[in-house]
Amino acid sequence: MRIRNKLLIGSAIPIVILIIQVVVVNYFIRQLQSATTIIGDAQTVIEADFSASDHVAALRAEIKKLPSVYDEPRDSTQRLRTLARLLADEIGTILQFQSGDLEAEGAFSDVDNTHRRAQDELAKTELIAQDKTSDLDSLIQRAIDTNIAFKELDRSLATLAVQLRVGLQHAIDIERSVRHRPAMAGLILGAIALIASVLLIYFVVDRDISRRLRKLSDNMLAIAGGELSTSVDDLDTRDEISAMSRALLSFRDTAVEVEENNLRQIAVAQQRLIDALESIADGFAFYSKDGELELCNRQYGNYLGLQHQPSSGHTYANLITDSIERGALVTDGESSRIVIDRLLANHHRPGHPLVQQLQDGRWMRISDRLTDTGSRVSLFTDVTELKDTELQLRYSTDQLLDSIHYASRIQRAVLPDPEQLSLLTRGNFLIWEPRDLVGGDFYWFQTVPNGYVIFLGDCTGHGVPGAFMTLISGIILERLLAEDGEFSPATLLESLDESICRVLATSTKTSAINDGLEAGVCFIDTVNERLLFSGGRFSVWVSNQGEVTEHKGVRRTLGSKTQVGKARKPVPFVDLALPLSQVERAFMTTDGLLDQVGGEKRLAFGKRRFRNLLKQQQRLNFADLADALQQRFVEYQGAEPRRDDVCVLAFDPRAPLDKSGYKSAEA
Amino acid sequence: MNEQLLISATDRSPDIRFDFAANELTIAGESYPEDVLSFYRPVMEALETYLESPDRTTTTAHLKLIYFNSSSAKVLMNIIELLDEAAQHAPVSINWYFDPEDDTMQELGEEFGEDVVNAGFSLKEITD
Repeated sequence: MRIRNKLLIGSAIPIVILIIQVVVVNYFIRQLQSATTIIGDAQTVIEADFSASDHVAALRAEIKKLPSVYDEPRDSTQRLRTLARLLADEIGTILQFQSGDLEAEGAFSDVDNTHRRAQDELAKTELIAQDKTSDLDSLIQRAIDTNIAFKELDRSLATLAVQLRVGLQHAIDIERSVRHRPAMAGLILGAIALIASVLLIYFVVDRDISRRLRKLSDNMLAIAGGELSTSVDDLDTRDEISAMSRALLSFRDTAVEVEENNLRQIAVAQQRLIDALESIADGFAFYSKDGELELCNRQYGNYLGLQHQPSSGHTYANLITDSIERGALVTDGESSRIVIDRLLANHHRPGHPLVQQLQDGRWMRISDRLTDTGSRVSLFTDVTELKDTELQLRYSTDQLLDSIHYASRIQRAVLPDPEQLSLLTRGNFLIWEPRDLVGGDFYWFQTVPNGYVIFLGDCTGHGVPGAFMTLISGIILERLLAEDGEFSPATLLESLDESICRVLATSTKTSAINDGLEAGVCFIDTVNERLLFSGGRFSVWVSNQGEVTEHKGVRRTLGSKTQVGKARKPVPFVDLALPLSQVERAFMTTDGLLDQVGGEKRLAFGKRRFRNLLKQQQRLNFADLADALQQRFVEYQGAEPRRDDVCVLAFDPRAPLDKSGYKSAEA
Repeated sequence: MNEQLLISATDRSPDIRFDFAANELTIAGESYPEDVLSFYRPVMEALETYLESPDRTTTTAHLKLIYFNSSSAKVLMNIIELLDEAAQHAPVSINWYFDPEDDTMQELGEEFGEDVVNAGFSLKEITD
């Protein structure tokens, strides 16, 4: 039912009650009025009755006197007529009420009848009285009859009066009983109307409608607040509230559908994320800004040695401490506290990833990352293979280094003992610094007929390949030096070149071996008191009387047929002869020293610098000069890496003061 | 053929820019790679192809080195030889740059220059 209709009913019911009230009150008022009318009528009639009785009594008295005025009846009859008229008036008054509400029908008609008869008798009597011819007896008889007639009338009037008094009493009773009814009825019905209105408004309009409106409003608020499980009822009534409820239900259902759709999409996205996380081999975990675990994959739990995936809410500290206490993360001799602190520190202030071993021997790289929102991502990556490779590599490197160290010992063992040089010369120094433990720079000194030979070579390449070259060159050199005959450095270099070429067969430029040898040879001819020098891309520096002079060899690399020069024809090696009297000190160096990049401008050390140092420091003895050179060189090199092997050899070609040493070396 | 051959410098190898359209080859820096022949093979191949091209006009090579090892020296020699031979067909100029304080590079430049017959070879001091 529509609310308008309810309101109509709600207001109509009291109005109907009010109408009933009016009708009922009206009825009671009528009843009261009727009683009052009866009372009034009865009083009027009773008064007329009494007057009529008086008139009857007067008439009867007059009638009784009639015979005595037989002679002169006129006055008497006159009075009789007057009285009769008065009586007739009263009776007329009485009879007016005959058909009224007074309940004395029989008494009224009795009065009427007896009155008519009395009037008839009286009329006859008057006629007799006025008739002079009539006798007295007749008149007396008439008077008697008339008196009787009036006596009847009087009786009937008395009867009427009695009856009216009864009716009057009854009417008075009625009036008394009815008098308060209109007011009472008015009050009662008014009260009923009031109560009905109140009850209607309370039960139908207010209690129901406002209860339903409140319910509806609560539901609306709840649904608007996201409580989509709120049940919406009150749908069946055919009013506006139900219509609103139905609209709300439809709204809620739509909202539920939208939310379910959203939840489905979120679930799909989440599932994708989980699938993605589960598909990676890494252990992945996401910690909230408050440090609580929000999300992790199964692998993360596995790596931490957990049977189940850790539930969210755990902190990194919990999980790590637990894992270490259970031995899932290996502490490797360190105290648990230290390992935990290290992992936690790196989690809170992520730096370089940590590497941590698991109980099963696998290695984890534990990386922590801070996101833009302050959350943390913890990543466990299995780096066992990497670690194994690293260990293998370290092992291989160690092995290789061991080999090279050993090779270095071999190379040193193969090279002549520097002490020998002290037996041949009056003073010397030898700096031999292979860049990589072993190298391509090598030296040789040996006595030959008429003197001794000092050889310095630089095999192209360094490290192990260079060292191989030095061994090959050394063997050949030793063989060549053992040959008899007059010694010539240039001849030695030619033979050496030929031998190396033959051994390495580096005859074409397509050869995979791009190696060769640069060398300088000093032959100190003690018989002829001279120094013979020959060099292939090599120089000798000679200091004499404060000057240091460079004597260059030819531009020719040994052991390589691809020579510089338009004709590609090897330049012949030549001997340079210097009298020993003009040689205070002789120096040879490999390009490792001269070409080393360093200094502020990052340039080669250079010959100028080398020569200047030798010149400036010529007063120093060999040992101190070697120190000065090395110091200068190291300073110049600075932070630059060593480019090549370095070998510098210096000597005073004069015979040592202790000749015995020379002799023993000669022997 | 690409318009350029670019090899960026490393600690042990030079920066190489071969701009074929501009007819310019620049080698700058240090050269002591572990395997010299492999490192220079693409440069040598590109150079040979370039020099054989008939529409080549004047070619300029800029060599600005501060250190090279003996193996690299041989390769540089080969490059200079190729350029010198090609100069018989179309002009080639080779510029060798060195710092005035760098006597090593100056001397090496002088030595290389001695072998150049057909091409123009200039020693250029680097002025800051």
